[in-house]
Amino acid sequence: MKAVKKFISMILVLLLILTTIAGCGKKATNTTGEKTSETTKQEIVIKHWQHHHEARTPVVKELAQEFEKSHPGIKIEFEAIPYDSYFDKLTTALSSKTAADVFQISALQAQEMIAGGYLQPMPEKVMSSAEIRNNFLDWTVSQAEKDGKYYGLPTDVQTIVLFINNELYKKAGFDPQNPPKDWNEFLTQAKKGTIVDSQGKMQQAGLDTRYKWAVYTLFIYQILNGNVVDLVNKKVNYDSPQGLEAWNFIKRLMVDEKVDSPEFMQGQFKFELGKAMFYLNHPVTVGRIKQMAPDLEYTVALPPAPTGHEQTTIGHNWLYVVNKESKNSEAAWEWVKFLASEEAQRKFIQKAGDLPSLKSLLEDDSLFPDDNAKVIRESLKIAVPTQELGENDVNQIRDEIWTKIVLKQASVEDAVKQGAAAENALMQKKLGK
Amino acid sequence: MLGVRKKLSQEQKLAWVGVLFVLPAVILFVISVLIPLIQAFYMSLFDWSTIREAKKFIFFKNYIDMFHDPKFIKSVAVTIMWTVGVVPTIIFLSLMLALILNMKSLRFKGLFRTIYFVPVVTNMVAASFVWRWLFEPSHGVINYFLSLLNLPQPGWLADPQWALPAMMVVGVWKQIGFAMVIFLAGLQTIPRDMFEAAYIDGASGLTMLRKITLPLLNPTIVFTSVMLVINAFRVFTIPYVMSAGGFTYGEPGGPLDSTRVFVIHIYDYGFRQFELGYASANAFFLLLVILIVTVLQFKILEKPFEY
Repeated sequence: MKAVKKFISMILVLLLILTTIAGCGKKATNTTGEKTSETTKQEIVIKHWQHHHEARTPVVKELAQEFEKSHPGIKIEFEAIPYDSYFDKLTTALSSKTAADVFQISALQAQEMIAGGYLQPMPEKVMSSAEIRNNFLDWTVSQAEKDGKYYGLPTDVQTIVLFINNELYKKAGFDPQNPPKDWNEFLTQAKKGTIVDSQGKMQQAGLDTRYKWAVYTLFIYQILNGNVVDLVNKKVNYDSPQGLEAWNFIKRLMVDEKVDSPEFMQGQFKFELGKAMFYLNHPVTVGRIKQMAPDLEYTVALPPAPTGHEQTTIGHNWLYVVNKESKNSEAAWEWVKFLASEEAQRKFIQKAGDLPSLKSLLEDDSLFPDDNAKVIRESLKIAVPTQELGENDVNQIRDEIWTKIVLKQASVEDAVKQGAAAENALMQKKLGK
Repeated sequence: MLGVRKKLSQEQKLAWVGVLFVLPAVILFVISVLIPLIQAFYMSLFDWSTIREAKKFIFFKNYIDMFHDPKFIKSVAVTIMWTVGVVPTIIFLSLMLALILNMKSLRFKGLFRTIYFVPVVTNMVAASFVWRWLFEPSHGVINYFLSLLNLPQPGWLADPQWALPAMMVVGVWKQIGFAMVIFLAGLQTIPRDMFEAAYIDGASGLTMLRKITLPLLNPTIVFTSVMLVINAFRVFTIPYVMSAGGFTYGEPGGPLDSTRVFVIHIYDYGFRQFELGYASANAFFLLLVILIVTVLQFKILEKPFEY
């Protein structure tokens, strides 16, 4: 009896070990996951990842349904990942070759990822390189090109515009039809729109700086006429005397005139909540305002320019790309092409506040029906593309410059020089010394 | 002779059965801990980026570069401050609570134990979000009550000076129940007759605490302090969620890296800057530090005693 019990125990233990090993074994599937089983049902599943945005996510879902209807046999498995964990998931999955077939990257990361061997070029039969050059705005696709081939199509095309809360602006004594044209006017008006109580506690910000990237990037690109990053000499130019003007202007705004404070409604949507008069942000904010504050009356204006400079703004976009490991490239590229098509871009523009990357849509007045939309279209024409090599790493350096100036009240020159040195070192590491 | 050989064979059989029972756990440990550990060490010897092309073998350069990295030094300092601030506070407060809740005369013990243990079982992310709102400088509850008392209202998570202390409050709040329960269990293992004998001899409460309770509670104190120090070195969720959780454009290390604890430092390099090789080197450094500190704690804190 004892021997039988021992024998049964050993069998159970062996079964446990075998199931553990089997469970840890590699799946007989690939990046398209269900392809092995799905092929038998003749359906291709394309996994699609992008960072979540309140306005864009519903549009992509709608487009996925339309694509599936027009492409029977292809299913889009869409996942919108919160922005702050998007790259965690993406880079981990890319390293372990389990990433989605189609995903989004910032245009600024494209060259690194192409060199890293994570992306595949668009097949000519889906869309030729000549077609891409002819149809899309050059700056929206230039980062996706290498050796004559294109590795992605543009999405999330954005500039920076100035949002004005009409009610607060009028209360401060200004006319929304007459927005500030230059930095000095902007500073004066922002100061007037800042309200503090008798104890010095801020009640209303003149400028919502929650999205501080937009503020400092816009100003440095404006003052340097777009020549912020020198890829040839592998250095930045914002520590030059001219570049320092932008950072000194930030000091005037945030330290001298205190038009906003990091402590005031920390991390919250001050403009959307009606607690800030000005807001520098992407046109897609229109979509978020529609959802968060549909009754908010606002005007969109071109950003004010430095004295003696023409009005300019910055342009930035993301790319839809195809994973090099994808086993269904053709279907994946068809989906990417659909996402960048005229029909899809119309939806992104009308429902999410995005801008077109297709030249053909720029002059279509029906897409820009109201005055705000017309200004947004105008911003696209005066945009200079951002050219940084990287996202989080570069932003961290520049955020630190901002924080040193605003919170520590450090010398602008010292903070900027330290930041520039760090960014130069980063660029040299990426491009090779 | 035959009997001895048969006895040895039975022992060997039992040993093999024991090995088989332990084997699944060992296999899991090897697959989920040891192999990734070796792989991480391997990665730490390379200039290994997730998005750049070539992975270059650089031997121990990552480890050398670490000590010249101002962010490394800052994160070590922040982690030490966190540990020194949080661990003794938890031990002191939870021991006091355990002593009070161990009193025979106290009513509703179960209710109080539950109240103090609830933070331990609360989801850390959700709790961190709530505390972030409590510490919100403009409209948060804490500053509201401070304003009623005419006290200064700091910028808390927006202020480099106050961000870390605010998060440390949450760290203490979260773990106090855990330490309290362990101390309670430890207190209940102390024989009652020791206290009775001391009482008869005229010892005061404080004397009994110093001469009986604390020495006999030493193994519990050592265990709790080792666990808390390890947790402190590995803290991530509270500083991450309170500084950068949600769509706030906040930096995970807080304003001017004032809350850049070591695991956030590793996370930042590994997943935000995509430098997996360098991040792995930092992770190994953390492992070594935890090992050394744990051994030192046992050597310093452990005091043998006799009944």
